[in-house]
Amino acid sequence: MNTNTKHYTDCCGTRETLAPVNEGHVTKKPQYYRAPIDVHENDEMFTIVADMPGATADGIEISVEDNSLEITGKVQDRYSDLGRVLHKEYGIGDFHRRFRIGDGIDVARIEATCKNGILTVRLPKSAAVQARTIEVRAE
Amino acid sequence: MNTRALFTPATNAVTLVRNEVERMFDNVFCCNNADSRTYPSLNMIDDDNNIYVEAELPGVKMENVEVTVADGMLIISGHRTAVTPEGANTLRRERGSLEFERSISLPTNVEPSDTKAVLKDGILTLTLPKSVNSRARQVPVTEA
Repeated sequence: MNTNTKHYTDCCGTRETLAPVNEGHVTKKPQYYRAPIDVHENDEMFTIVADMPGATADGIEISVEDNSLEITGKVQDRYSDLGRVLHKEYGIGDFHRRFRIGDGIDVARIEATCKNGILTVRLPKSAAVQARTIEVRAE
Repeated sequence: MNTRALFTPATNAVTLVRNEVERMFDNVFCCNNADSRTYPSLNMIDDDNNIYVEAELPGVKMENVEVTVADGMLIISGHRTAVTPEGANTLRRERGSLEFERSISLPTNVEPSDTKAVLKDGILTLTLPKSVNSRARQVPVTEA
């Protein structure tokens, strides 16, 4: 899987990339669950869609440091007020994913929404990248 | 590399690799997979009066979920359609569309007609009242 991710990063260069960092089945922080994601791209932006059941908007943390974007969805314990657990197939905990991003993303304009257990993060491309993109298409 | 890579034609070797990766993800996560028998995962909790069954169903709409209680079995079925924003390319897909039917046997008799289902923040919670005979009862102990 690491090989595929590397291909992906290489093919798009470093300025425009948004590459998920593969951290195995669980993330490096073992207390987190790895949220499954989709990544979409159009001329203006990248969009990350992540499954984070149980997370609400006020439990979402998005941080950018150097070239690393981290998304975390905090999930409250739901069972403490209920009775005893008879059968358990999944654990309840916070979700997390990390991405490597390039300079072509306008970090100040990143925005996110959370609805029905789905986190959507929009990462606009910087104006310079968009302008260059249009120039290439006109050839 | 330059921005041209953003618009590579489909014949480009790298794009082919990317398409192959996407297809691989589709095969792993798409609805036709045998995964539908074990999806969604379920947790079950009980107290004196109710059994609670919980499933993680992010992005699934209530109108697309069906819950059936019959003969001591609980069946949860439904679907979710993966949406690609208009005019966008999908670079990575781990979520995909889902079509599922999951059944589990209930440990005690319940009152099917009083079952409540709530879908909130991508979590489906079912409250199944235990039938009167199945409820825990305090037996009063009296001195002889």
